[in-house]
Amino acid sequence: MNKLISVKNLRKSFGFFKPNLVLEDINFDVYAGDSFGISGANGAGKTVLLHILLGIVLPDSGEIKIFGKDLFKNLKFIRSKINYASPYDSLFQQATLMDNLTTFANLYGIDDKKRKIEEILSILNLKDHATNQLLESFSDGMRAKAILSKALINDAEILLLDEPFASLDFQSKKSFSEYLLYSNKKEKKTIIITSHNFEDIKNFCNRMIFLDKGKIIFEGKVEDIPKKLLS
Amino acid sequence: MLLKIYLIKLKALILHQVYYSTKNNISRLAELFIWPLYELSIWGFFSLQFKNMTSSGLVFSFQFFLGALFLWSFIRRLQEDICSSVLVDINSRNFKNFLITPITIFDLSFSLLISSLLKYLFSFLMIFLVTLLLFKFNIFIFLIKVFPFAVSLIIFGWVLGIFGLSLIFATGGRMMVISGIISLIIQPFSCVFYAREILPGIFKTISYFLPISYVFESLRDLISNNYFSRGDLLFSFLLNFIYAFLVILFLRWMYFLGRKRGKFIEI
Repeated sequence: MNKLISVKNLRKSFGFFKPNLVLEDINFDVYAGDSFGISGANGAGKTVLLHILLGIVLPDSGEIKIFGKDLFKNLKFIRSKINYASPYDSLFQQATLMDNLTTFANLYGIDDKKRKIEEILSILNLKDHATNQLLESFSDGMRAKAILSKALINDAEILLLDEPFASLDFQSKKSFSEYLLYSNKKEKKTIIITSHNFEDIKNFCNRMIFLDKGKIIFEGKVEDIPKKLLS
Repeated sequence: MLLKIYLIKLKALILHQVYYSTKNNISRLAELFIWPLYELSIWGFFSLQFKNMTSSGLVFSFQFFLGALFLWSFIRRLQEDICSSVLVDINSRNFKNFLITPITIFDLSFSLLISSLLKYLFSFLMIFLVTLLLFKFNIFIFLIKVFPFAVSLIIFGWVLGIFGLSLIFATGGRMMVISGIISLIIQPFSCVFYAREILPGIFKTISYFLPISYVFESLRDLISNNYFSRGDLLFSFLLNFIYAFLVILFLRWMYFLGRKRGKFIEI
């Protein structure tokens, strides 16, 4: 199988005088077409790990290769082929969703912007709100969908999603899950999701790592995870 | 009893507003000192200048004051706009979305320079109309006359803007107050409304390192004597280019620090 992400001996701490170790001895691989879960309790290091993969947090040491290239030496290339979303982030509040998506479509150099945006809006059921409402008037759930829509703008080969199902209502969760499953199974997109909710990981991922206090305590198939980790 | 409960609540609010909100925030702490010092020094030195002018028989130049105010607005608006554009996105929690696109911080910074200038041009139209209608002062003719000075000020406004941006990168927006008012912090040393000669020791020394002090000194010469020192203007450009080079290195360094400290996770 084609290895898309390779993480070796990753270590990260914050703070200078009293360093707080948040990730230690992290090793894992993600293959093309994987739906890969990163799970663990709050504060286990999931979000920091995801941000290191995005290249906006620098590790203390370790090696990260994405598409076979060193992440930090090929950021521009790698970022053109990945995308990210978290319901804890947002888009520009004083603009419409359409304006926001057009901005990002331009930044990713998308050719047929109009078609792509319309496709995304219909997947997330946001068509009725895209042009006539500023984002600041969106509900929390709609805002979460809006940020997810941004992540779909460049047809990313790797999609990194931080707690993607938090804040989504049942209907949106269902349609977004279906879309993710479709792009993962049919379009062979690689998807990495973090969640402290094992149900989300179980429903969606084939492989996973489980973090505890910054260390991987389980890596493998989702169905193989020891029950004691879930209690 | 009721009074005691009321006092406890009041104490909690005051502690929050004065102590907790400032104790770990250098930016807010500095703000407490910056404003009084700024106002005291600007108006203090301006009074000295005014006193010198009248005693030496010089007529206070309305044209110069308005012109200086207009030119100062170049620096202030450009610097503030570069920082506030980023802070608006940080407050929306949208800034990270830009950082993870295939653009570099230099692409982002360059776009901020251009957009700050474009926005200033809109402001300029309004300034032009207001000064013409209210004060019968054609700022456009004034601008043509002082164009090289304006260019030097624009470059320095950009340098300050990128400096502010660097502070935002290093602290993830915690220095937002300071980064927004950098131009005001250096204004007392910039000789905008008063001559360098009236400044006391350390203020005068600092002013020699600021390219804009040469611009405003030359501008005063131009308005009062119809002559300006080309050497001063060129020196201001030289200083501008040195600072521009240094601020690019600073931006890189602060961006590195921001990534190292994880400051971009929550913006």
